Amino acid sequence: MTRDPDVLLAVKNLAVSFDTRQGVVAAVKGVDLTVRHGQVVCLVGESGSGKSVTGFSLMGLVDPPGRVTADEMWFDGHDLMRASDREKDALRGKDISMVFQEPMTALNPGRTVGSQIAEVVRIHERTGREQAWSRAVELLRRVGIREPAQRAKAYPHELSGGMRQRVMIAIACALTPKLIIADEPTTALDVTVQAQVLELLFSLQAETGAAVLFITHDLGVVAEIADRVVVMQAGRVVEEGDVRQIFQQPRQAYTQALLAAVPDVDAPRDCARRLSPRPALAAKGTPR
Amino acid sequence: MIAFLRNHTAGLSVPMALGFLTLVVLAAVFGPVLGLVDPYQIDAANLLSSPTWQHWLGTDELGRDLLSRTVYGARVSLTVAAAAVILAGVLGVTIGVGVAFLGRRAEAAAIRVVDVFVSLPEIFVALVVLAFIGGNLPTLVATIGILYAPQFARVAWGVARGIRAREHVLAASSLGAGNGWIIWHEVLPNMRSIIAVQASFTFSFAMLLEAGLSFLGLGVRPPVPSWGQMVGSLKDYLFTNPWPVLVPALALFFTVLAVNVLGDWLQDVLNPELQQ
Repeated sequence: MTRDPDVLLAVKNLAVSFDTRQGVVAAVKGVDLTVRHGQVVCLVGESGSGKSVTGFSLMGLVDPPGRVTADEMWFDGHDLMRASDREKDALRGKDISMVFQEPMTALNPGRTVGSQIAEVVRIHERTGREQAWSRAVELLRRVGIREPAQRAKAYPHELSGGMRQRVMIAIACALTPKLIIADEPTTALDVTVQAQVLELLFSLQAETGAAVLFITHDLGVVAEIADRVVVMQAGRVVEEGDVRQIFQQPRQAYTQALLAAVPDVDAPRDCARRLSPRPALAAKGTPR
Repeated sequence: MIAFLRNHTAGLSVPMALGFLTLVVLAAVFGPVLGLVDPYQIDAANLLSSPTWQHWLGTDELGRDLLSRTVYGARVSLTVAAAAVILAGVLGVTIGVGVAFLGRRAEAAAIRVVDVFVSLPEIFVALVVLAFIGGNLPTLVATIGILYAPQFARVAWGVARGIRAREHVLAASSLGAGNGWIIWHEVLPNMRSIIAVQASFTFSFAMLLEAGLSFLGLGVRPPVPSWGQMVGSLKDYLFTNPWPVLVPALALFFTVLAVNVLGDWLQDVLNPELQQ
């Protein structure tokens, strides 16, 4: 592979499958993905299209019975397919980090948010408890939480959904990673809060120059933030391109259907226009 | 504390259990400075007496003061039970959490081994062990602690598996946390309440096992008093005077009852989602 210094993440032929009692389930099949430094790549697709599993496999978070294979998986000069657990642990949280969909479950309910932000600092930099704590308070201030010194002592259930997601973002951005994988970070939030959280995430992104792999099914968000868009269906990439090209001249029928599925109050109501998650069904025409 | 109790209890059983246990623990801790009669001092004029002004709870078959012996017996019984629970808890939680992080095949095999130990009859194994190596306090504590460790391991394994599957553990791995860090910072803090409940029930089992072994003469050896040992030696005089044997027996009965009431209550307060 030619090593383009501009490329941060290069994945060739990624496949993720799960061994179950009913047989092998292929969640992701033959996905190629390239993310450049500072680029925002949106991975879109409906539920079950394999976009989250792709994100987890990049983090090395697919545990048995799941199996990840790829011809190539390079991140910032590291061969992730050959990296040891120790090497991966050193990268995770520091150079590549993740924002989860549901901050209530992704935060430890039994520990204060401050200690959870301090955690990532303490894992990667052998700093003392107090130093890590003051870093955590500073990070809370940076993600726009008022009275950060007091809030740091709060437990996750004492914060609102938006504040919890800000905490997640503070954790993800704590060590200025080169790549942030955001797995539907706004899905669990109210629309007004969504806008604030997105604004925060991308102002931090602009500040640090991190690349973002943004996993979502919200095309409105995609149009606003993406540089490139990768459309997934049933574990495969069906279309990939510049955000303008995807929105203005979608080539694939699935992408067109996905764009058409965005609700439009002026359009006539038509329940027959539904997406088919499986290509086989789509080929047969309208389901049922 | 009082407001907390009022909000979290219905009826009087919990405050009564708490009060009784506090009394027992205080008596055990401060026994030596309470100005009690020497528990080994023989009063040959008053054998197996019922309560008198001189001996508030009567005397045993050698004329030793039963109040004093019950208080000193509480020290032994409670200490043995507490030490055994700590040993069982540390061993069991270590094994259980360790097994939960072994990985699929090894985990399945290891938990079967734990199951084998859970199914051993405690009193039988304890009898055999103590009959061979003899009963002094450390071996008694070690035997009881090791016998109850597998139950802790089973509970800890189940809870640790559940916590391991939670998203915040995944999130911690995504931050580069290794297994050791995850166990210490993510798993253990979230299983405290379940371990506390398990410990309270194990405490009453351990007290009963210690009492049973001492009753049979394999636990605490005379003249050192423990409740089970006192019942064992006083039972022979049930027809001479039924009073003395009742003193340690009721002390044991009410203490175990109080521990169980508190254990049930802890379960309801700490793990409300597990009700029924």
